[in-house]
Amino acid sequence: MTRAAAAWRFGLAVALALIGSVAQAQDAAPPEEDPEAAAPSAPSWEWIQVLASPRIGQRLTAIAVHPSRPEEVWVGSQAGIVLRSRDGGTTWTELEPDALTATARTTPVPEANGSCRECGDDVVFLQRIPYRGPPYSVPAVNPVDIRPWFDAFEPTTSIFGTPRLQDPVPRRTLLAQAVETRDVEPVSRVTVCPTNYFPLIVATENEVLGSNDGGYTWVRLLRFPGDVETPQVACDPTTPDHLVIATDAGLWESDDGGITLSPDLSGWPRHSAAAVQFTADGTLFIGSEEELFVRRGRHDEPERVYPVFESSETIPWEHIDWIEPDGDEVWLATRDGLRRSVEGGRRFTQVAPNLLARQAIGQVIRGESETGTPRIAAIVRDCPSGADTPNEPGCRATHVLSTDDGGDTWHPFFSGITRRSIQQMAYAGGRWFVLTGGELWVTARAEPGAMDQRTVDWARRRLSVTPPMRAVVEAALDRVDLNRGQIDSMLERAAARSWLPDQVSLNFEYDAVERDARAADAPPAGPSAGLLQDTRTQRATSQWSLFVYVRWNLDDAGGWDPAQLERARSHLYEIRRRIGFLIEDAWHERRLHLRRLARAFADPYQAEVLRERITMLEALMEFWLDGELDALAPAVMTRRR
Amino acid sequence: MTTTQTRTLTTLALTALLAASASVASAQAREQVQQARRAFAHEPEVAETAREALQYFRVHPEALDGLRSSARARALLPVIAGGYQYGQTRDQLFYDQQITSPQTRDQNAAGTTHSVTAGALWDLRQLGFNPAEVEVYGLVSVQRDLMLEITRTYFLRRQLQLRLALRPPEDPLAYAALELRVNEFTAILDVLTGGWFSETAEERRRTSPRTD
Repeated sequence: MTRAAAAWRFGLAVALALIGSVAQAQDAAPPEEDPEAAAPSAPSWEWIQVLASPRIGQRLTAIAVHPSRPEEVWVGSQAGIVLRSRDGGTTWTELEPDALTATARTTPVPEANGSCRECGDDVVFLQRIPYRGPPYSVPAVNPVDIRPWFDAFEPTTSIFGTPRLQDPVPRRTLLAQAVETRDVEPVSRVTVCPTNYFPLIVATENEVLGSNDGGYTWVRLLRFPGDVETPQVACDPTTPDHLVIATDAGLWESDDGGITLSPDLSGWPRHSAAAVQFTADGTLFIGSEEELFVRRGRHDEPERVYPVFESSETIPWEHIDWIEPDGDEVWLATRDGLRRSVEGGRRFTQVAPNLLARQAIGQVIRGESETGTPRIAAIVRDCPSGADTPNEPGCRATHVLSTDDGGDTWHPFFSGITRRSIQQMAYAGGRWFVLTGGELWVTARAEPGAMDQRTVDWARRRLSVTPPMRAVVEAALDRVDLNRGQIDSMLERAAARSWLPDQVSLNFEYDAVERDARAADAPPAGPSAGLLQDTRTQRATSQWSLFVYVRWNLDDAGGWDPAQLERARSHLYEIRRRIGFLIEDAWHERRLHLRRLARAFADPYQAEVLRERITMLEALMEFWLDGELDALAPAVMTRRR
Repeated sequence: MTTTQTRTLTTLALTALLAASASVASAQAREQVQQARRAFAHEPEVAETAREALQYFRVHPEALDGLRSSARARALLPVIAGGYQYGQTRDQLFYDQQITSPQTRDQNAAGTTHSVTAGALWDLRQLGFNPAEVEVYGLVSVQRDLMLEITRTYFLRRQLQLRLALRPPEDPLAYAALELRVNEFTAILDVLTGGWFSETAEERRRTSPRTD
């Protein structure tokens, strides 16, 4: 064989191998995108969902991403829980911000029972825990009253008193305890400040907590009596441990990382502070209602930059919800559209008035596009006319728009399919995060070949035999006897039970009497006069009786009056709702992970973790089903498997 | 062979080498995954762990079914009460009349009474419906919480194991901390199953043939 021929043969073999590997890679790659969607200025990120919240009490409310470690993501929830992921959303840990070991920073108020041990400076303030009584109250029921046993037998009353099997006084029954909810402090803001003494700061509705050990222990930094909101926390990027907190009670500032906080006493804002943000050079922007202030230096007086009455170009705007400054360019999200200034906060203009005027903008943030150019994204709220604040019922943020050219051209940005309201956005490390009430979505690109093709095939097969959610939920509710028919039939039986006798008693009584009488008589006359007559009588008698007594109590003597029936019904339906939602959550999350694996959006580690999670979710569902999940899939699907 | 042909062949050969090294890396990753799976093969699965925990806490579905049915069957059992009464009577009479027709009467009488009573009471409404049937549904929430706790702990533990196997931290302290967390979750699973989890894993490890 000549050298050239050998080289050609080698080249051919390599080419064949390459064709094979490309074909394999194409199998793993997601479907090709629409060429129109890949136009230069149109966003073409793939959105993948990395978190699904439980349906009950876990509405997601806030997100923060570590600026230099974008794999570290924090999500706050309505239930007062903070979720932490350190692998970009593959796995999550639940943390509960609860300042159990906190030292109160506000002045403790002594209580009447003296729970404040030593009311001086920097004291440990012990919160008085209200006594709620024992978990189960002992019902005042004594079914057997012993006294009637020794009374004369009267057919009109039972020897047993009146048994009260159900205490008519409402009490904490096991069922009531099972459905009760706990008091929570919803998380409104999570902020990550890497240079701060407390790098993690969480604001709930009434307090601000800090943690310097990744969320395991918390210290209460600020708390107000009453309903005072703390909308935003911002850290100074130029000065470690310098942070400001915007509250309904004005601006609070700390130079020691939050250990001590003092109110800003410069006389402003006159209203509540709603939005704060530092620029890269330490300039602070503060939004207060419809006014915007800027403070250039730490010890400077804040300067009001809007409204300026000498210019007629800037029309008044409503409440400022978010400030996004970057150098001289400042973006404002207001409840009356989006504003932009390119002069460091002066001469604001309304952006895209035809599109966004009169729209409530929830948040505006800066990031990068697919090509690395600057991109601005804004959450647009859709509020019914007449709604004053975006928190009113029916006011939902349903879409995110973005612009890559300073606001001239806008495109729909977030393309995840969700029915939940959009809460917040974040951007870090080239990834955009969109948090809805029930999900966290992240931009990502699939890397063909990064995942084992067998795992992709496995996920596709599992997806193809996924039974309908309705069938799974109904089967699970059947399993725990909580379908509608079973609940109704049980409550019908409860209502009809009064027709049955509440007392059927069978009483036996036996009496034995022995009498012994002796009499000595001395008659005054007659033949035996003066003689003593001695008589003795012994008598033993006994008697027994058997008595059957039946009593009907038709006036709900068992305590199952309509109110109690209704209470039981609502408790049962609450448990049914919880089980149903649990199954729904598991079904959705399983499908979410399977879809991610089927689209090859994972590296081997993530794929393996997601597989374990899927197995766990299937086990959870199969427990409630008492059988295989696949058994519920339609026959056609099962055959495909 | 021309220079162009030689360049083309060199490019192809280099690409092939890159592709080969990529496929080697992919094969290594696959092997790592397989190795990790083999390491957990002897451990009880999440479904059986959950079942065991529910058994341990006596809230498995059969227990709940039993409680519900026995709540109705309980109506057949009556409330039983019994009593005994002992009574003693004594009657003494001395009568002495001296004037018109003198007479004397001395009378003693004593009596003893024994009374025994027994009774049984049924509430037949419970045959139709017993309020305890509804109360048993409260345990469904306990069941749900326990299931969630077990599956959560099991998954957290497994994800840390995968982290150790597939993406171990380089810092020895972080590695040791991860191992400690795995032990912590193992202990929680043991607490929830009465020690069954570790015992079963150990037993299966001893009895199963070595696969690694």
